[in-house]
Parts: sequence; structure tokens; C-alpha cells
Amino acid sequence: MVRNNLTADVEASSSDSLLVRLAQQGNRDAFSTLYERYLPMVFKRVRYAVPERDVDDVTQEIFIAAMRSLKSFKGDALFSTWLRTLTKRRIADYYRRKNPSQHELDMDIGEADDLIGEGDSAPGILDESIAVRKAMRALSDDYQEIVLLRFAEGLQFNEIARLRGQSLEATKSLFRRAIAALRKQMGEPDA
Amino acid sequence: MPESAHERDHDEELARFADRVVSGEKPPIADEDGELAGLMQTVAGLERAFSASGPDAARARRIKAGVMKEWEVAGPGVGQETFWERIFPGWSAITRRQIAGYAVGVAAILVIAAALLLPGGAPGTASAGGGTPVPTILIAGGLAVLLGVFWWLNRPSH
Repeated sequence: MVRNNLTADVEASSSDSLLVRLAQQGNRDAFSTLYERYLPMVFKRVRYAVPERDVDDVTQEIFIAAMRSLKSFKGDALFSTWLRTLTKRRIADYYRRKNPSQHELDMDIGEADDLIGEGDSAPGILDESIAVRKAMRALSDDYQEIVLLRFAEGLQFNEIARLRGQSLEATKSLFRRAIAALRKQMGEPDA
Repeated sequence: MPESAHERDHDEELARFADRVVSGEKPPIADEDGELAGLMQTVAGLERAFSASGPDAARARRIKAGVMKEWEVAGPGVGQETFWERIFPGWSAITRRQIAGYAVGVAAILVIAAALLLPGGAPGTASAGGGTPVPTILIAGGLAVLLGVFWWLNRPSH
């Protein structure tokens, strides 16, 4: 039986639960498909949380941690929720490992230099991206989270509301307040 | 603190604006309401920044290479209990293979002995038609089956 599952066709459209089950049984392609599916979400979250030079390493660590603890994933929650929790935990671990004052220094000096080498962003967007990252890090956890859920993960407001156990109205209100706080952090004038 | 009707309107309009921006549209920014227009500009800027912050193909490949390399060493399939591991828990793979080899050897001897000791199984006893002796076929068949079983149990897992 296991053998049949292991050789089952893995398609890009396969559900998360099927891919997880196959990956738990050792199917490499299934895990590879999950990686492709969730890399943008994990990468964007990491990129808005840690200095640019550590983004690849932290992202890699997250997927390796996911791979190692895949067997313990029982499917009680959605895989995306499980991976999001793992991502947040790994980012917290990153900060625990790092000396906070050193971290601040890295952020200020290193960020722009690290980003300049990317070559995939126009200068205006690059400046905007740096400004957004800095402002995001100054926001409260709730504000950061709702912005990340909407823009990094592309979740709809009703999905965010369900995820946070809030009403849709409360979610939209939180979003507006988060945007206002971000705008203030970015030094944009109150219109 | 309960929100005013004015704030609730802004919540709705900003959320709707964000939905359109995230889906790739470029909706007009409200110009009659200065406060809302400012928030919309920030939302549009956020979308631009986040769209440009995904991994490029080279980075995605590099990260994946590291992850999949680890998969070969510590992936869920690696270290899955084989038949022999369940039979001989805690024994090294080499020892298990040696034991499996001895077991196959002993089984082969038993098959040969059984073939020889069976009634009419003496060497040189040919069938009535003068063809291949039955014990020879039994021995060859038994050995082939055992070799097949041995190969199947020790085949590579991938």
C-alpha cells in the first residue's frame, strides 16, 4: 500500500493534505510541490522580518524544520496554518540567537546594500520596499500580521477573519488601523 | 471603543480597495476624502513593495537545493523501518544483510536436502519420459525463488 502511495502521481493541483500524506511517506516530489507552493509566502514573511542577508538561510531553515517535523503533522490544522506557525517560531528563534543591538546595526547599515544587488526591482520600488520593511518592523504584532496575511499571503478578509476568530467588520477595522499606523511610521503626512 | 459610521465606511472602502489592488487592478484613489486617499496610497505602495519581494528564480532554486539535499539525509522516507529492521531492531544494515544471506543459504540447503530425501528424489532418477530429473527442477526452482526473495527484500528503497 505504502509503495503505491509513494509512486502516486504528484500534480501541481494536488491538495495540500494529499501532498502532505505522500511527503510523510517519503515522496520527494510531493514535498517539492509543497515547497514550490509555499515558498513565496514563507519567503515574503521572512523578508519582512529579518535582514536581507539572512533571508535565504532562514527560509531554508524553515523548510528543513518543516521537513523534519512533517511526521508529527497530524492534519488537525491546515498545512498552511502549521507552516505559518513554524515560520513565526523560526523567526523568533532567529532573534533569540542574535544579539539585539547587533541586529539593529545590521538592519540599518546592511539593508540598503543587500537590496541594491537584487537587480529585479526598479529604484523607486526598491526605496519603497526598504521604507515599508522598516516601517513594518515598528508595528505591533497584530498590525504586522494582518498586513502580512493580506499582502504576503494574499488571504481574503473573510479568510483572515476566520483565521483570527474575529468578525469580518473587526478584521477590516484592524486592517485600516494597521495601514494608518504604517503610514505614520513611514512618515507620510496625514491627509 | 465603538467606531463611528465614518470610520466604518473607511474600513469597508479601504478593504474593497485593497482587494482590487491585490487582484492586479489599478483602482482610482478617492480624492474627495483626504484621509481615505492617504490610506489608499499606502495600500497601493504596500502592494507594489510586496509584489517585488518574492524570491527570484535563482534564489528559489538555491534555497530548494539546500532543502532537498537535507531531504536525502533526513527526509521522512529516510530511516523508515524496513522488513529486516523490524525483524532485527537495533542491528546494523551490514549485519542484517549478513544474517539475511545466512538465512537464505540455510533455506537453500534445506530445499536441496528435502528434494534429495523426498521419495523418488535420489540423484539420477529420471522421469518416465527420460527428461530432466524432478529433483533438479525442484532445486533450481527453489534456488531461483530464494534468490528472487532475497533480491526483493534487499532492493533499493527508491
